[in-house]
Amino acid sequence: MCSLAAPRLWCHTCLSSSRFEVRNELLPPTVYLRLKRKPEKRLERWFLKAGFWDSIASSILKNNNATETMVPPSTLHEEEGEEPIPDQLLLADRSLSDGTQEQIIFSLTGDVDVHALQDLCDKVGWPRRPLSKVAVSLKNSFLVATLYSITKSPEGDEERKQLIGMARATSDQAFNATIWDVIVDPSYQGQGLGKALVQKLTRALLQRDIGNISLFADSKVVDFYKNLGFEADPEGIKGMFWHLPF
Amino acid sequence: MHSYISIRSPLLRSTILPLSLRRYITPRYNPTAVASLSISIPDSELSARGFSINYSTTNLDPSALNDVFASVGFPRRDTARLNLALSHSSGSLVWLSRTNEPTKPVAFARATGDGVFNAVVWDVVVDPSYQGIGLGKAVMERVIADLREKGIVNIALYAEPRVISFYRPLGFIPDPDGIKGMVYSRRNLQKKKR
Repeated sequence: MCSLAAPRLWCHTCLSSSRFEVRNELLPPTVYLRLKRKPEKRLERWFLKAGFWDSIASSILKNNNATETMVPPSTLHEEEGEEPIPDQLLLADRSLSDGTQEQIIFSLTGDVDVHALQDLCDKVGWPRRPLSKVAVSLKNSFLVATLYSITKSPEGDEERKQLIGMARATSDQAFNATIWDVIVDPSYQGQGLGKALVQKLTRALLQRDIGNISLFADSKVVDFYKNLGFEADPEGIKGMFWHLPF
Repeated sequence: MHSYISIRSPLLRSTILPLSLRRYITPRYNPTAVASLSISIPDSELSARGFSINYSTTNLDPSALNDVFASVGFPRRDTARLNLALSHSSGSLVWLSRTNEPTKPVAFARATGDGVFNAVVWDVVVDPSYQGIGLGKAVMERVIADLREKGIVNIALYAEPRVISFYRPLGFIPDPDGIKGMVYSRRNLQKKKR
């Protein structure tokens, strides 16, 4: 669910999908991290690719019924020549009116301080949840995307890192993923950050060969997601929720 | 199997289920109130009819599962990816088999989620030769019971129009208070490409 309830005009000027040129002295080295794939992930990609060839071979060898369909293998990331979404991405680097320098960082590393997340949820008015459960839910999520604001005072001596946005996706890591809990700090809303957050998360999921990305949107934010490529009730398929018997 | 659980304050995102529905989902904690998990066909009757209930993927033959998918019009899945998906259904997995054919699923359902708050149910199928006798309901009820036992009450799914009436009696509501299920489609972005 997105907390961007009020319809606002999006400012696109400070956002683009490419990284901004930055002054080296301001950026910590970690921001330049490219996609650091852990060895197991490399294996997984190979494994998935092997499966792809298996599927081609099996469809040739088997005597398949013409009406049966095969789930098409996803080749998005190869064909479109897209760069993989790195673990950290600089979205904005700007000077504020009081002279401080602020950077907005998108991160997929997923290390979220649950206390910072709770503060963020308080700001948008979401009910509190037991922190231990929140920690477990984050650990069990396939991808956790976060937005951080790093502000540096004009003297350059103080640096403050603040969580200003988050979105997470659960998945079976093969076919389906569902995006939950899209949240942006109200004082950072209206700048296209929520859009960037969901866009990058979606692309990261597609690059991990997840073909079906879904979510459940409050009626007020359906248009927000439509603009990001999500379709409501595709082919009449309805989202349904279970409720307790009364 | 009739198990009883007491509902401790379930946690729910106010933006997922609005206030009008919340009163059904967040009852006040009442130690004496228990919610019986409604199971229409108990385990004993299922086994009397010759069906076995399975909660894990051991013994599940993925190509037999693919056959059932194909027979109901779902796409066949690549076996390796299917195994990957089945190993990551960290929510719930329930399937029925004929006791004399223990590796072939006749009814199947799985749920993914984060294990504490949310779950989404996928791939609910019943072999056409076994439809109409309550097996779909049996697996769904057990998936829901399993999720509720873990404390997950936010259970969602995507239903084709012709099966919405199958899920309603199980307790599912479409578009509660205007909440829309949405799916990403690259086609939509192609249309919007500048």
